[in-house]
Amino acid sequence: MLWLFAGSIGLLMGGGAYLVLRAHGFSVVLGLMLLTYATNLFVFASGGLQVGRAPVQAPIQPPAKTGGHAIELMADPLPQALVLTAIVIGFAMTALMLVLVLRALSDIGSERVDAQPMGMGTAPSESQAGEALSDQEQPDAGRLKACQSDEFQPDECQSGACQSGACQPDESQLGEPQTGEEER
Amino acid sequence: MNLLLILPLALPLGLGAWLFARSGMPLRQQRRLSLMGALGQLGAAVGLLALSAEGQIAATLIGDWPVPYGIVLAADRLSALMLTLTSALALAAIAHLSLSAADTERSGRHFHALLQLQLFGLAGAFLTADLFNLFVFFEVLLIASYGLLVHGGGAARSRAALHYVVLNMVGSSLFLMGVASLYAVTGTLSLAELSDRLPELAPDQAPLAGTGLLLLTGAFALKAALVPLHAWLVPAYSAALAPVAALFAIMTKVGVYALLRLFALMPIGDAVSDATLAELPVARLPIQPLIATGALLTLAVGAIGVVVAAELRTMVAYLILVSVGTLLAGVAAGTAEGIAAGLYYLIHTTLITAGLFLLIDVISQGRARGSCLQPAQQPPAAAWLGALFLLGALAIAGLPPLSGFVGKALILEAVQDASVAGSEFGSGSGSGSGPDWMLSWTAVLGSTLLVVIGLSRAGMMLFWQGPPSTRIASGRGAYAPAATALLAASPLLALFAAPIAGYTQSLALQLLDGEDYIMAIRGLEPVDPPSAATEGIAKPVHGGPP
Repeated sequence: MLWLFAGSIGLLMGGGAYLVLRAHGFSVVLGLMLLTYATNLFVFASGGLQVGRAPVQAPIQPPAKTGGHAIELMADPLPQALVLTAIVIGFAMTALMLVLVLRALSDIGSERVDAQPMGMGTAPSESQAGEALSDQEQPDAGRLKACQSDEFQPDECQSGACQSGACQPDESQLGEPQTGEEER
Repeated sequence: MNLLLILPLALPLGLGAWLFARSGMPLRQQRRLSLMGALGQLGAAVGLLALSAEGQIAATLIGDWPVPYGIVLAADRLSALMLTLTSALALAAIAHLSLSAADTERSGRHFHALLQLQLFGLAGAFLTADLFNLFVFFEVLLIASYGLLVHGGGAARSRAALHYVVLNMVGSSLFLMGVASLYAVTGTLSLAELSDRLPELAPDQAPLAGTGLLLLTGAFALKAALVPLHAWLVPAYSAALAPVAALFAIMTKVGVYALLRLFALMPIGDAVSDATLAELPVARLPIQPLIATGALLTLAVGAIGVVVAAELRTMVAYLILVSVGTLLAGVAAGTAEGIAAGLYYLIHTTLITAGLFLLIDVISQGRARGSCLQPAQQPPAAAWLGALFLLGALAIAGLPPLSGFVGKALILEAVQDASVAGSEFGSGSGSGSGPDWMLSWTAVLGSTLLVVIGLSRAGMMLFWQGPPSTRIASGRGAYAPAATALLAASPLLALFAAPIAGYTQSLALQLLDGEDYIMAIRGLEPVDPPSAATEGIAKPVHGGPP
C-alpha cells in the first residue's frame, strides 16, 4: 500500500516534471496538472495512510503529535480539508494557465513556451516585442498607429506600447539595444 | 474580534468583489474607491504598527474555533511593518495612475478589482499565523498578480506572464509538499505550534521535517527571486505597467518575509551557539549557508544586469535583484543584528525601487525613445525629474547621506560581527560554513560600484545627452508626485535612522525569540466555546475558497 502510493506519487511527479520541461504550451499545462495531482496525493498521505477508519466521527480526538498512529478512531480530517482546498486552487490555476497559453499563442504566434515574438531575430529584446502585435490583439491599435507616424506624441500613446518600442518602428536599425540579458 | 486585523483583509476583498460586480463604473470612480480602500488598509496597518511598537501582538480567531484548530490572524512587529509597506505602495501606485496623463489601466476593465484582490492576498500572507493559510494567500496574491501583469496586452507581457505562472505554479507545488511534510511529522500547521514542536522532534522524524523545511526554503527563495531561482523576475517586472511594477516591489519581499518566518521556526544564529540546541537535527540543515550563497550570487547577477541593461525598466528590475541580494546577505547572517539591518534595508529598498519604477514611467512617457537607454531629446521637466532620478540613484546605490548607505553599513557591520562571533565561539555546524564576511563585503561593495556605474550611465544618457525638449511639461503627473513621495522616504529614513533601526532591532529580537508570538496565539479564547457535541462535525481549519 505504502509503496504503491509512494510509487504513484513519484510517477506523477516525474511525468509532470518531464512534461513541464518539454516547453510546449499544452505539455506544460498537462505537466503542471500532473504535478498538482502528485502534490495533492502527497498532502493526502501526510495524515498517515489508513484503511477502514471513519472519515468523520464525534467526539473528536485531538490529532496526536506523531503522525497518524495515535489516532485510534478516525482518519485525520485535516489533510482531507487541505487537499480539498488545494484541488480547488489547482483547478483554478489550470484554467488560468490554459487561458494564458491561448493568449500567448495568439500574441506570440507559437505555442512554445520559450518562443520569441513573431518576426524576431535570435536575440530579440523586450523593447521590440511590441512590434509583433497584430492589430486585432492590441486593444488600442488606433492609438498605436498614431504613435507610429512621424510626430511623436506620447500622450496619445499607450504607455506600455510606447515603452516597448512600438512607437519607434526603426528601433531595430538603431544600434544594438538587445543584449539578450532576459535570457540569463 | 480585533477589527484592526480584520479590516486590512475585509476591506480590499469586499471592494474587489464590488468592483468586479460593477465593472461598468466610470474610471474616476473606480480610482477613487480603490484609493479609499488602500487608505483604509493603510490606516489599519498604521494602527497595528502602533500596537506592535508597544510590544503587543494583536491576534484574533477567525470563525471562533478554539486555538489549535481555528484560523488565527496575528500581527507582530514584522507583520505590521510589511502590511504598512504594502498599503503605502498601493496608495502611491493608485495615486500615480490617477495623476498620469495616459489612462494606463483603461485597456482592461478589472484593473482596480485585481489590484484590490492583490492587496487582499498580500495582507493575508502577512497576517496569517498558519502555514497552510500562507499557501492559500500566496495563491490569491499570485492569481491577482497574473491578472495585473498581463494588463495592457502585448506579446512581451504574455510571454513574461506565462513564464511567471509556470515557475510559480511549480513553486506552489513544492510549497505545498513542504507544508505536508511538516504536518506529517508535527501534526500542526500553526506557526506558533510548529516553532514549539520542531525542536522536540525525535531523530527518526528529522529527515522528513528537514525535507519539508528545505522544500519551503526553495519555494520562498523562488518568490524572493534568489539566484538561481530569479529567472522570472526581470522579464515580468520590465513588461508590467509601471504602477503594477511598483506594487510588485513588495512581491519579492513576500518571499523574504516567509523566509524570515521560516527562520523563526528553527534554532538559528545566536541560538545555535547554545550547545544543546546545536545538537538538534533541524539545526543542521544547510539553510543559512544556502541563502547566504544565493544572496551573493544574486548580488553578482543583479549588478551585472544593471550595468548591461538596455532599457530603464530592465535596469530597475535588476536593481530589485540587487536589493534582494543585499538584504538577504544581512538576513542570512542569522543574528538579530543581521535581520534588523536587513529589514531596515527592506523598508528602504521597497519604497525606493517602487518610486524608481513610477519615476521612469514619467520620464519615458516624455521621451521619444521611451524607456530605451539611447540618446534622445530630454524629457519635459527634465530638471525636476533629473533631480529626482539623482535622489533615487544615490539612495538605491547606497551612497551617503541617504538611507541606502545607512542600510548597507548596518548590513556590513552585522555580517562581520556574525562571522567573527561564529568563528570565536566555534558555533554549531549550522552557521559557520557560509561564505565569511570578506566575501560578503566584496559582493555588497562590488555590486554598489557596478550599480553606481550603471545608474550614472543611465542618468547621463537621459538628462545630459540630446537636445532639451521643446514640449512643455503638461498634466498633473508631469512632475511625478507619487514617485516624489516614495523617493522622499529615503532622506526621511536616513534622518530617522536611529528610531527605525531600533524598531527593526526589537522586531528581530521578537521574531527570533518567538515566545511572545506563541503566547499571544495560545492565549486566544473563543468568544463562544463550542460544545463537545458540535466540535467534531466540521472543522474550518483551512481558509481557502470553498
